[in-house]
Amino acid sequence: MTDDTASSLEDVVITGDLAKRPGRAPCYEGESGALAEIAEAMANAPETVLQQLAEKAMKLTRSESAGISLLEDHGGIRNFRWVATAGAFAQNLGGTMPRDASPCGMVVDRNDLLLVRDPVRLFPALKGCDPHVHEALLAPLSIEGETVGTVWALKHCPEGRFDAEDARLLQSLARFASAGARAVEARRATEALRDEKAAGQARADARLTAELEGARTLIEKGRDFARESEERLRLIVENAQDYAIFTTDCDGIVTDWRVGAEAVFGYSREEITGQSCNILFVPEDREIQEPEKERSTAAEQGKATDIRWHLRKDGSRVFIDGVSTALRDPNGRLVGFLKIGQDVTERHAADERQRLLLAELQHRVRNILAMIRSVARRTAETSDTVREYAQHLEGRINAMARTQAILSREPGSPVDLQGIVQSELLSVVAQEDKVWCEGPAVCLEPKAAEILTLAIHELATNAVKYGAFSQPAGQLEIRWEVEDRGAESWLVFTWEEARVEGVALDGREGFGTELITRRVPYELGGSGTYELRRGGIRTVIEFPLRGGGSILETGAQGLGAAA
Amino acid sequence: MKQGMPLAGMRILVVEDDYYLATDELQMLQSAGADVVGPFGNAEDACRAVISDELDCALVDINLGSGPCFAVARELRERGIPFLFTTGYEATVIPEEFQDVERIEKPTNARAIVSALSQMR
Repeated sequence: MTDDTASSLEDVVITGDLAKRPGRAPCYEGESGALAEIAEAMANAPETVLQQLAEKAMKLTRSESAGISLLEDHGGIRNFRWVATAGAFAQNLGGTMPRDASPCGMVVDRNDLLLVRDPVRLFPALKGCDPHVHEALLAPLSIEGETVGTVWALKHCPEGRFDAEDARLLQSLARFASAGARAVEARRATEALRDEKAAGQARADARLTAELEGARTLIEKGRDFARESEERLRLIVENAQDYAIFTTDCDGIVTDWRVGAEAVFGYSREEITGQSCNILFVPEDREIQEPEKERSTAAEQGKATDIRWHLRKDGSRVFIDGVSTALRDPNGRLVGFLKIGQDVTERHAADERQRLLLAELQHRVRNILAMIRSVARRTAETSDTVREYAQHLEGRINAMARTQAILSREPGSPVDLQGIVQSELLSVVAQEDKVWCEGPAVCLEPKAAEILTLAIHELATNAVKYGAFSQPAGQLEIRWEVEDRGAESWLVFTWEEARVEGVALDGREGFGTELITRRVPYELGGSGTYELRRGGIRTVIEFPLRGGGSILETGAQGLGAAA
Repeated sequence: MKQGMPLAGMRILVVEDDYYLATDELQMLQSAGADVVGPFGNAEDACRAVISDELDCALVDINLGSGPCFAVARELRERGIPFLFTTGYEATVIPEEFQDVERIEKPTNARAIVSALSQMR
């Protein structure tokens, strides 16, 4: 009964028969197991999904073959291609059927399930297919609402029959097939993107090559420029007298030595080339590995500062402000060091002096405050009234202020002792015609000048109150001389009042008395006497003349040693 | 009789070149119960005392008339005798070896000196 050519559509397409055929119980377990496996394939290997689907379709529908057909369009010729096949029909994988002369085309047109009996009768293209198809059950496969193919199952035995449950299962799988097709689509898109990327990479490579070429040209130009700069630099380096410029190898052995270096350090190029540059460091620094530290810092960080005392060939010291720079070959390998330094000994000395003066000033200001506090306390102890206290304190502070002018004068110039005496007498409004004053110019150290000034002030104040200036007949003789006593010269200063009557000491040690008899020995290493004789007060202050004449000298030695 | 005073029984060397400050310190330390050695206004006399005397601690002025001087400090350090600096100088003037020594700045505070010295028993 197989009339290949003249069968009617109703004979072949028998989808309606499904409802009439005896049905079997739904196989949900088999269905869900199959869907789970397909889902897993989608997640892990999307390219196997269609094949999986074909196999599951065959198994669930208890058919001999199953497969997937997808629509293709090649320049207007539209075919269905069997993209996945399972079972006996697998040998036809990759084969095609015309879009408009195939059961698949009918499914797509109707967008519905289709059951065909001996389809070859209606679709001649199936004629050559082996094994023969007796029944075919097809379900539409759609992607985003568009039917793009079918999933089908085949019975190759003449008595083979699909039922309603087979139809349900196939449709269920078809829905998965849609998702599977989408996954494959996505896969294809990814691959296309990868191809696109590869193409892009090729384009980028081409661009990079072009840029490299450009860079090479630039480098060439740069080299030309560098050659010119190098020449200019060479001229500068060779003529820089104020800068010591030299190079060493990695271990500090001098490899190049310029005229500036010779001028600063005293070594000729012939003498020092091949020697370690460590000989330019002072022994203290060599002992604590400063040369090695400097080189390792330069090697690690590219540069190392070199600001320190250095040693000249003649053993004298020169303060260098310089930098050590690592030299590297084109591969980045360390090949040595370039050292450039300037002789800043004079500037350094000036800075040092500045620092010293500042420290000294700080010290003096604090010391003076401490002394004023002490003098104020002592004045209070020897004053009977606030008025007397204020008067004495003011006079003493004024005298101390006057000495400051002497203390900060130019170093080495002698103190005009005559001037000190006169200004102290003037400060107490003494009558000059009562005073006889004589002595040579002397060089006093600051401390001595300060104490002597204060002593004269105390004596003058006292004379106004109780002594030579308090009585019409009173006279004052002030004289000083320098005596040689062994290795030292001593100043002997005498203050002697005459024709003063009825003066008595009150037995209490006053500020002036303490100053003369105690402070002079303590601070000046001399002695002081204060006595009341017939006719008035007689005071002798004597002390060795020592050291410098100004605070600008004071401490220079000591601070230098401390620094 | 000196029991209970902060510096009772302590032999303390005083090195200060200024007479007024030296006598102030002498009085202050004596009234706190200390047995004062000095005061000395120059390094030579002070060093001689460090060598020959039994000292518990010392109060040392850095400037003895001609800039900072650390001869006394070195002598004390060598003998392990603790000491304080009294000074108008900044810390930068003090050499590395004495950076750990407590500095009391001038004008000094009597209570600060007594308190610091009493820790040196």
